[in-house]
Amino acid sequence: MDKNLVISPAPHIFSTNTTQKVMLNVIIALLPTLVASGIIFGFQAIFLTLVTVASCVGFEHLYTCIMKKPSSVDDLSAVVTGILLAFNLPSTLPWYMAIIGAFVAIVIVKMIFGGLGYNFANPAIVSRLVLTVSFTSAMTAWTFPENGISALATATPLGADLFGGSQTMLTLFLGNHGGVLGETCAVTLILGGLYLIFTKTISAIIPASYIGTVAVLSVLAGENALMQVLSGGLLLGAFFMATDYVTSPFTRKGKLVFGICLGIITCGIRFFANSAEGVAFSILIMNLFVPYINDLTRQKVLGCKKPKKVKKAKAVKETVVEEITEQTEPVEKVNFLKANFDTVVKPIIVMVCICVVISLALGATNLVTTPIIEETNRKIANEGRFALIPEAEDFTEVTSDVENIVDIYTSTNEVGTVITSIGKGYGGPITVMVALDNDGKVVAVNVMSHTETPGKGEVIEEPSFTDQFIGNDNDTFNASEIDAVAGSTVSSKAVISAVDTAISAYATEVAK
Amino acid sequence: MKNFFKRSAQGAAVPHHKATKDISTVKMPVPSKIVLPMSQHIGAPATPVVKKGDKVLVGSLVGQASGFVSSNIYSGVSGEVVGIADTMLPNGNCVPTVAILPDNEQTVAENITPPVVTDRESFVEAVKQSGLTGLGGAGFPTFIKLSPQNLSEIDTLVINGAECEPYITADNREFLECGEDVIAGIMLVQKYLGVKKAVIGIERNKPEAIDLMFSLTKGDDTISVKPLKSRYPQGAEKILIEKCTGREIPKGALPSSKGVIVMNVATVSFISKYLKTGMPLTTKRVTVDGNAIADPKNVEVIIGTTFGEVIDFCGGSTQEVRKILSGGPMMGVSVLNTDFPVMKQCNAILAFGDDMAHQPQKIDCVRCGNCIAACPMGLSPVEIATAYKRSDLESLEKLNIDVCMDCGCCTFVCPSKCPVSQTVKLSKEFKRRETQK
Repeated sequence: MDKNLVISPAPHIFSTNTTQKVMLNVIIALLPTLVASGIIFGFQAIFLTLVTVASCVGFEHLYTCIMKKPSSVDDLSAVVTGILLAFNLPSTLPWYMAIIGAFVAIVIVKMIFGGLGYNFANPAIVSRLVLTVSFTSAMTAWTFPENGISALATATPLGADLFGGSQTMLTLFLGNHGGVLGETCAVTLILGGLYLIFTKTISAIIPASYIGTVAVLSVLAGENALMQVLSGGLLLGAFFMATDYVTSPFTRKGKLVFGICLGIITCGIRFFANSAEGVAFSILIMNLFVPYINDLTRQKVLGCKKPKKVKKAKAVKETVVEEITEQTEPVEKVNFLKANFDTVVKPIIVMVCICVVISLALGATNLVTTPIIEETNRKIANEGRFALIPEAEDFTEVTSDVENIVDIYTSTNEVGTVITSIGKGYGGPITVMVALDNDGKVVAVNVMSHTETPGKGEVIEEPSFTDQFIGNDNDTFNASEIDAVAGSTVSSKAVISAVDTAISAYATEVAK
Repeated sequence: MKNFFKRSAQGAAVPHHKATKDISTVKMPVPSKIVLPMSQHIGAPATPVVKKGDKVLVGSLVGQASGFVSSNIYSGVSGEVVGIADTMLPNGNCVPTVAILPDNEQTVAENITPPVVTDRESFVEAVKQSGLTGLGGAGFPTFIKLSPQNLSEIDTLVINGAECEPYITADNREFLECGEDVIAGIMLVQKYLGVKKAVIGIERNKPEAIDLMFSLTKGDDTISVKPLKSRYPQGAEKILIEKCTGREIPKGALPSSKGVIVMNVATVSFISKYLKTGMPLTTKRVTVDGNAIADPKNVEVIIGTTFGEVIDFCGGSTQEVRKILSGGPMMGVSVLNTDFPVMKQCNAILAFGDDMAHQPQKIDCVRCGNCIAACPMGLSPVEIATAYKRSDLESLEKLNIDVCMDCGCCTFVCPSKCPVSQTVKLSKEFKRRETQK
């Protein structure tokens, strides 16, 4: 019997809590939101989630196989990352982009840095931002909920707010509005967050301080606090992304600092930068500060005083240094440069040289390519103009400084004028090219570029809409007579205002 | 709430498993042999004063205290010394060990008479002669605790009845079976040391003991009872002092520096019994439990009885025993074999089957910070572990690793099952060696 005794250091019992159970709890907390997004956005949402989960797990397994490491997929963290990633994507995102996102999240952010516990930032957040930068239009094509009616629902609430739209609070709570998969339904997000807090999976400090800070700052900035809290992915970020164990501070003090800083950055981005990625960017930024927060917010050890002697020691050091430098100043200086040439001076010189060379190379490239690019752009624009007025031989620019007018070109053989103007839509400015004959009457309208919601905004390019403008001049044009396209009121109105600007600009700039 | 952001110090929600708390202590008959290692306390090992073939009686001196921090060791049986040999203790130290074969007569030595105690000096001397060491588990010689340098500043006696380790119920039985002795012992210490206040700290999972102590201290406003939250490790000295008196013991200092003496409930109780009978410390109440024990209970054992015999007395094992602990599952040591004897500081024998014997499979740390939230001292075990991995002595110093008392909370709560407290223990050893260089 004795030979079979196990000898091991204390403790000999262990809690039943495991990493796997923690991850399972997070998955359970995310499920209601997944169901809600399925109802709001349809099967596409569930499909996208399945794609990201499968590819996250797949990439992690593949990586461990290639690197000859023990497979770590059974800790379920890849599943959590997959769901969170899907929640950060619009439901219309093509599946291959989602797979690229999963690759960025799992391989680049997590596994290359050493796997679970070593990633420097939240994988889903980084992946969202990488996708946003890489596929901007697909990532900001916030989806129209299947059972929504209002044209305003195409924009996220925060986006709509920029154009004076209104959103009822009930819509925000239930999530029946545009946005990425997982951020719309506030009810299920709060439900999931509370589940995590009550199962002690996460600490309430981060979500409470984050949401609290956003609410307080919104009130101070004169914004609608409830609206700011319920929209724009704040709840998803506060409950599920900012509380990620690996990338949040350890102590209560640290978590409080973390949450407050997140709130401040988010509000800063929302109020001053007009970006919809406020939550994602603030979490990424704060993730990078976590090691410093940990260092500065350590717990006070029982019976230990905080080390406050640093200041004193520094002061002593300084006086010592002063004494030495007074005595042997010139020798010291030379010695410092000589002694540290390899470690300090040389790297600085090398880095500066590299910077200069790269800057010069960039400048030279720019110098060479700028005229070419300009010429190409002019050609493309001219092609558009020729399409509108085929009889024209060439165009010359008419300078003007009218607001919302990009440029005015008249044909050299005096058959007409083409004015490019801008109207404001949801996804950004809508550029419209308007051709006018010598009487100032509209000959053709071409909607050149817009980033409106796919499937909805495109109708403003249809001839049935643009042909309404033909034949009008500054005297006869009446904006209210033009029929807006149903379901794209804002986009249509943007085109109408652009055409209006162009017609009146002709009267003031060209006809005189 | 004031401390909410200062230090979370949640401890660990360990399972209680106090199955034996309502079962009366059973006195175990004289065993077939007793084995007395000469180191059953903190400090220098005692020197054997017997040799092979000597006859000893119950209460005979076997080991004489050597050095200032040391303690006498007495025989609990009458019989013959059959050998003195070096044996290895679980901590790896080899100490001379006296083996005695009982004659089953249990003849009491004639010099066993109640000591004459008149003042502090004679009181401390009596405690010294009793061979009493801290019975809570640390085994610090009690008479040293009772002679602090700054005696006049000592104003509080804290009685440790927290018994926060799972399974162990020996202190609970001490309260319930010897409640009067506990109070009498407290009063003796108060009287001879001039300590004004006494606080008895008991975890709330022992309501009977709390009720009994409340009723016994009714009318005495110098002794108060402090029910404590049932959360490991309430019974750790510095934590107990903080909970009972609100005082923080500075790093590296003894409780006496803040005017506090801490004694285990069984220790004070023994002082009272000793002054009545004069019988030195030769028996010990031990909780025998664990999922491999057929009949778990508290047993009063003659010190030196081997674990094997105690387990047999408790009905033997129900399954193959794969791990035997001396002490609780959080801080107890796993023993090498069943010939290991019950010593003064042993308060439990726990035997486990295969399911409880092994350390769980570890995975990578997820930096959840559970260990930091749990650490009762407010340390950052995960950061200590990473600093140790990169041999960063400076960081280890900054992280106050010396404060760690090896309570094991960090390892217990770790969801990744990392051996955190074991790593902290290694880093303390690393730091000790590096600074010695």
